[in-house]
Amino acid sequence: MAYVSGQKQTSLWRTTRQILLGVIVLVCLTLFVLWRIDSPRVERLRMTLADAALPSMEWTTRPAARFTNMLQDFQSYVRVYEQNEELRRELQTMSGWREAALQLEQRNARLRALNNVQLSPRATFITGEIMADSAGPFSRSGLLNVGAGNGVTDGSAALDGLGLVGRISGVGEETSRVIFLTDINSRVPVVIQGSGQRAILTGDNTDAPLIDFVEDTARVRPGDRVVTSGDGGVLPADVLAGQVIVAANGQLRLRLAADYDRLRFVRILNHRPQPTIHRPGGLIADEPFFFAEEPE
Amino acid sequence: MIRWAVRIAMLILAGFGCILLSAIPLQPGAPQWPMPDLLFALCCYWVLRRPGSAPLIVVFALGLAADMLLMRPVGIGALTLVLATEVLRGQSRHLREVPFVVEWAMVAALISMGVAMQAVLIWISLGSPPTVGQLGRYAAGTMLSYPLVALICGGLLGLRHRGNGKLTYSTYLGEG
Repeated sequence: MAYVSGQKQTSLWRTTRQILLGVIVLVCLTLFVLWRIDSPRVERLRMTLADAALPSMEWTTRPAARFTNMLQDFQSYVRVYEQNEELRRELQTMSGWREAALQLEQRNARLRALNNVQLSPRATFITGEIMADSAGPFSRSGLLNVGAGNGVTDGSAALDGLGLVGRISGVGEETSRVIFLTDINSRVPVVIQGSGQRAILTGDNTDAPLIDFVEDTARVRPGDRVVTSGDGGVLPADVLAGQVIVAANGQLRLRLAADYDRLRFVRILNHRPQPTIHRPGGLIADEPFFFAEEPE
Repeated sequence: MIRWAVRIAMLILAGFGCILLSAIPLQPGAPQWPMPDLLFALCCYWVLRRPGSAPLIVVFALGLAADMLLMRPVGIGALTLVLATEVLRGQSRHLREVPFVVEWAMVAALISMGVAMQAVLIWISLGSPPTVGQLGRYAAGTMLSYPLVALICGGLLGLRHRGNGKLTYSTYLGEG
C-alpha cells in the first residue's frame, strides 16, 4: 500500500519537476532576451548583485591576487641586476626627455597666456582597484571597488597611468564595472594622429583591438599615435589609446598604451562634457505665457 | 533530512567558492587562458554523485549568480548549466557503473555542446560571439578542470558514489 502511494508521489513529483524545469528554461531565455534588448536595466540588476557580493569577494580575491603578485615579484627578483641596468639606461634617456618636456610646457604656458586661451576645467579622477574580472571568453571587463558613492558615473573613461583602459559601464553604490578596450562589445571613436583620420576602435577579445572604418588606410603608418576623438560625447577627447600596428593580414590594430599585463589600479576620469548649445537662448519668452493667465 | 540540508548548503558554498575563484583578477587585462567554468564542472560532478542533494532550483540560482557576477551573457550560462545537469541527472543511474573516463567523456561532450549553444544563442540574437579558438580554449579548460574538481570534491568533501548494491528504497526516493 505504502509502495503504491510512494509511486504516486514520485510521479507527481516528476511532473512538478518537469514544470519547474520548463519555467526555469523560460526564465533563462527571457532574461537573455531582456539583456539583449534592454541591457542597461539588466546591467543595473547585475550591479546591485555585485554590490551585495563584493564584500565577500574582497575577502577572498584580494589575498589571492596579492599572492600571485608576490610570486611575479619574486620572479622579477631573479633578474634584478639586468633590470637595474636597464632601468638606469632608461632613466638616462628619460631625464633628457623630461628637460625637453619642461621647456615645452613653459613655452606652451607663455603662448597660451599670449593667446588668452580658455582651458576646459581640469578633469578630476578617482582611483579604484580591480577586485574581480570576467573570467570567460564572453567579455573582458573588471569590477572596481568604487561606485556611485565615490562619484563614478556611467560612461566615464578609465585610464591607468599611461593610457585609456576602457569605459565604465554599470555603476553600483560601491562597485562599478569597467569594460576594457579589448572587450568584444567595446567600440570607441578615435583619431589617428599624423593623418588625422577618424576611426572606430573595435575590441574583439584579443590583446590588440582592431582599428576599423579608416577612410584611407594607405595614409596610416605603423607607430602613429591613436587618441580618443571625443565624438559621441561619452569619452573625453585626446586621451591616448595606443599606437597603430599592422597585422600580418594587413589589418590595422592597436598596441594599447595602457599596461594591460599588470593592470590593478584604474583611474576614472570625472569628465563633464562641455555644455552644447542646441536651442536659442531664453530671451524670447515661451509662447504659453501670452495665453495663460497673468501672474499675480 | 539534516544531512540532506547540509549537503545542499555545501553545494551552495562550493558553488560560490567556484565563482569567487573564477573572479580572482590574476591578469585582468590580458588573460592568457580563459578561466575554466569551475561551477559547471562542480555541478556536473555533484549531480552524478548526489542527484538528490543538488536540487534544480539551487543549480539554477548558482548558474544565474555566476552569470551575473562573472559578467557573462545573462541567462544562457544558467540555462546550459541547468540543461546539462538535467541530462546527467537522467543518466546518473547508468553512469555510476561506468569508469571515470567514460563519465569524463560524457561531461566533456556536454561542456562543448553547452559552449556551442551559448555562442549560437548570442549569434542568433545578433550579438558578436567570441571566435571558435577562444571558445575552444574555454571548453578545453573546463574539460581539464573536471578531474581536478572531482579530486577535490571526492577527496576533501568525501563526495563519492554510494556503495554499489546498496540502493535502498529511501536512497531511491532521495535520488528523485
